[in-house]
Amino acid sequence: MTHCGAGAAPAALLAVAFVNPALLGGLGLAALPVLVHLLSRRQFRRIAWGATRFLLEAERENRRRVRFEQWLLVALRCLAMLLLTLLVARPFVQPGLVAALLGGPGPVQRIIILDDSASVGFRSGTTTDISTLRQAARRLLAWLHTAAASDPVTVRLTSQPGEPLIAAQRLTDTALEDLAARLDTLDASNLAARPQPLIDTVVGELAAAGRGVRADVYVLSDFQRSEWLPSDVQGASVFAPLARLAPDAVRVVLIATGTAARENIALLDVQLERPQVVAGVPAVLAATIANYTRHELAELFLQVEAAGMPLPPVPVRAIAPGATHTVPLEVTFADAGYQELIVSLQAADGLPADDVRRLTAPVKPALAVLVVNGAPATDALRDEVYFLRSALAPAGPFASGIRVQVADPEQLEALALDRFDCLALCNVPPPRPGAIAALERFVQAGGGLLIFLGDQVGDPDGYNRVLYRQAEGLLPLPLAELHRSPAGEPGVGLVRTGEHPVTAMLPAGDAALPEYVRFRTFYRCAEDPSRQGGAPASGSAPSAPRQTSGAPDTAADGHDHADADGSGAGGPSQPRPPPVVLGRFTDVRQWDYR
Amino acid sequence: MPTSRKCLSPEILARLGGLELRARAIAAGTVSGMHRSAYRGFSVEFAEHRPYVPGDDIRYMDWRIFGRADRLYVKQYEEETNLHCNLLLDASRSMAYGGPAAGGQSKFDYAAMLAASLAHVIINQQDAAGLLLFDHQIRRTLPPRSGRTQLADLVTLLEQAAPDGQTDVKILFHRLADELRRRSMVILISDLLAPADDIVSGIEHLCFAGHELIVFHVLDDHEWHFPFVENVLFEGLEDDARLLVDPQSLRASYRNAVRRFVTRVAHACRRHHADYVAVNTREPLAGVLCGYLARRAAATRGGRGARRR
Repeated sequence: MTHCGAGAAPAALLAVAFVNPALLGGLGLAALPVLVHLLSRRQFRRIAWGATRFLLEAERENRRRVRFEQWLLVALRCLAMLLLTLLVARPFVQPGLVAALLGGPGPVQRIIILDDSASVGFRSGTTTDISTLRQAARRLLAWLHTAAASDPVTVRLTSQPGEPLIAAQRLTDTALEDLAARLDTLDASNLAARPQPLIDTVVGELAAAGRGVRADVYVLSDFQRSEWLPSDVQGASVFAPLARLAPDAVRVVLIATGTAARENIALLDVQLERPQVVAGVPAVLAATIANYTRHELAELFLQVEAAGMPLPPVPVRAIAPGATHTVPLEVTFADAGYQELIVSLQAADGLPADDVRRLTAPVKPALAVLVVNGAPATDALRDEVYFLRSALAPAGPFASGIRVQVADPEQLEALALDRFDCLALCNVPPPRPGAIAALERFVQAGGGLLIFLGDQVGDPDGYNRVLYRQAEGLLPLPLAELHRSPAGEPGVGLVRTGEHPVTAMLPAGDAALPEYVRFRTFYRCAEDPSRQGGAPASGSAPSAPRQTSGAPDTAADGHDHADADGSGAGGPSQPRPPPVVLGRFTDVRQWDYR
Repeated sequence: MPTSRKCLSPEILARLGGLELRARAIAAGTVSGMHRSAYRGFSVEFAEHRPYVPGDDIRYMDWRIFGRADRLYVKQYEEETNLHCNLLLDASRSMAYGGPAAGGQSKFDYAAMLAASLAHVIINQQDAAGLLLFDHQIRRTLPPRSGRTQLADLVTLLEQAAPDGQTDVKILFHRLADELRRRSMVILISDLLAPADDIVSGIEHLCFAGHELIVFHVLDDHEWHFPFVENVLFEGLEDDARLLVDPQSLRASYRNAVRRFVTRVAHACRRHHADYVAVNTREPLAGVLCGYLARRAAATRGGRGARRR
């Protein structure tokens, strides 16, 4: 719609709008009569004439009149073309002009907000909420067309806050028909209703219209609590800004078009449990299902489709009314690359929109792990990293999804570390400054780093100097003295005081670790000088990007092993907290290092 | 009698048979004829009595009055004589115009036929007819004579003439009036496309000189009615005027201008007892001429009868 006018408040009253503004291009036709006039002057007959005396006399008498008549005729023709163009463009005076001239209060802006969020796709029996909303909107528009034909009408959708269907337009017959046709094709979107930005837009427009504006805001919605009473509003209505704008001049009319009682089952979320997905290795997902019905759900199945291949349905245990349940799913992607995963709920409820979740998983061909061996042995079976390498990439027909490369500490500076997802420093002496810089760049870029200590570490101060570096290095805590358990003692068990994304995923769980994993030789952790009276460094925070390890043992078989070469002794009777992080390499997260 | 296909058509001559062009005023002929003479004489038409003076012919003494009143009076009679008629034909370039309504026939052709037909009527009634072609000056002259050879000469002269030159009646009419010393009938055939003042002045001069004047104002139908519709660039035949006009917007004013001019000329003619005949070349010549001659004959008879009573 095109508005023409100048000035502030008077312009708003005297503004003229056009139903078909594109046809205003026809205004150029106004020049046509002038063109025809000028062209007609170039087309004439030539006559040799004797009675020029009479002709000159007549011309002298009528020169002014003829000229005036000619230009008047041209002007009238131009005017006719202009009027014709304006007629086709269908101009109209903005509502309120007449009322304003008569001293009336002016027009009332009619703003209609239609909720086309996903929730209005709810079907109850043979009707859907969106069809009910469409009917209500049509009735409302028809009433406005009859009762408030001169008021400007704006229609907005919650899915498109910035693009109104019509904006401040008088509801003519044509506009009503056009709007009705658009309503016929209106369907529920896949978005949640976000009323706040929409209300803010309306408030902004009304504020821009100036003082004295009057408005009726009609909201047609199913008014889902989660959308229209969001937690961040803290009890205040989303319409509060409208009330603050002009309490007496702005009215809000809520028209509920949703079904009162809904029987819905929703697949709330599907998430990867482990961030790294490797081709050929099962990826673990968690699907959360909510039961919004008033009865217990049984015989529910989840249908999973990975990379276009449907998998067997996964049964879901019974879910109580109002409860949610998380279902673990294992999906194996055959190929690397970005793969689509579709999880759908086989439930006959009224809102199919929330029964399906889609996920795109970046599938890697393998995880690249660099094992830096600080004490390589000639006999492979006696090598310190033998167990670790075998655990990461065991021999046999089953692939672990981990590609292991073993390197010497001297090679750290020369290797392109960005090719690896994770590095394991196994019993390496304090690295040289160049290697330290490469490791820090690697960790800053999101690489995972595990440090296994051993006798190559030597003096803890040397390690602390290059790796802890006054709390600015890679170690989360400085190392203290080396502790050796006396002979005959079983050593200390693993003690954890908090969750860690690595240990939390151990199949045996945190509680089982002290029983099976014993440490006879280990470095104590010194107090963090930066902390005052803080807790002892007994583990790393779940969100810590840096991970350190003592002498590890993946003791799933129940044997006591304290370090990578299996030479550990039994720990003390009273377990003390060593800095240990055990983990599965597939859980190494690409941290956003800060 | 020599005839010309151009100037004299058998159809016109057939229609003109029996018609006469009588002088309405007195004429100054040298032989007795059908027209009233300016000279009082002793012919058959009684005019008046006058006292006898010594020397009068006693044959015209009115003895009855002498018997009753014992006074001597002589009868005087009007002498009827022959007519001298000068046909003044405008041969200026503006006479070359001929519109489609006249079948492309120019005003000059039409006027030439009119002059030849009038000459035929005049010579046929034993009067003398002469021709004078003029534009801004007198181009050719044929003095008035009677006889069939005169008609042949006149027609030949008309056939040889072509419209050319400009009309300048201001000087021309006065020269004509001076040149025609003997009172005669003067028939002016022209489109009169000259200033009205000059035309009127010339008419007055001719009439003051004692000539009986008949003006045939010959215009084309287009010049009378100005029926053009589309834009027309008018280029003057006798001047350099070039005028691009929308004819429809000027038509009324043009007709008014023509009407004013005609009114003024006709009024001047009427004031001096001259005949003014407006001629549209679209109308058949025979009809125009027969109509005029018949009207004139009727008027002449009426006037003479009234005078006799």
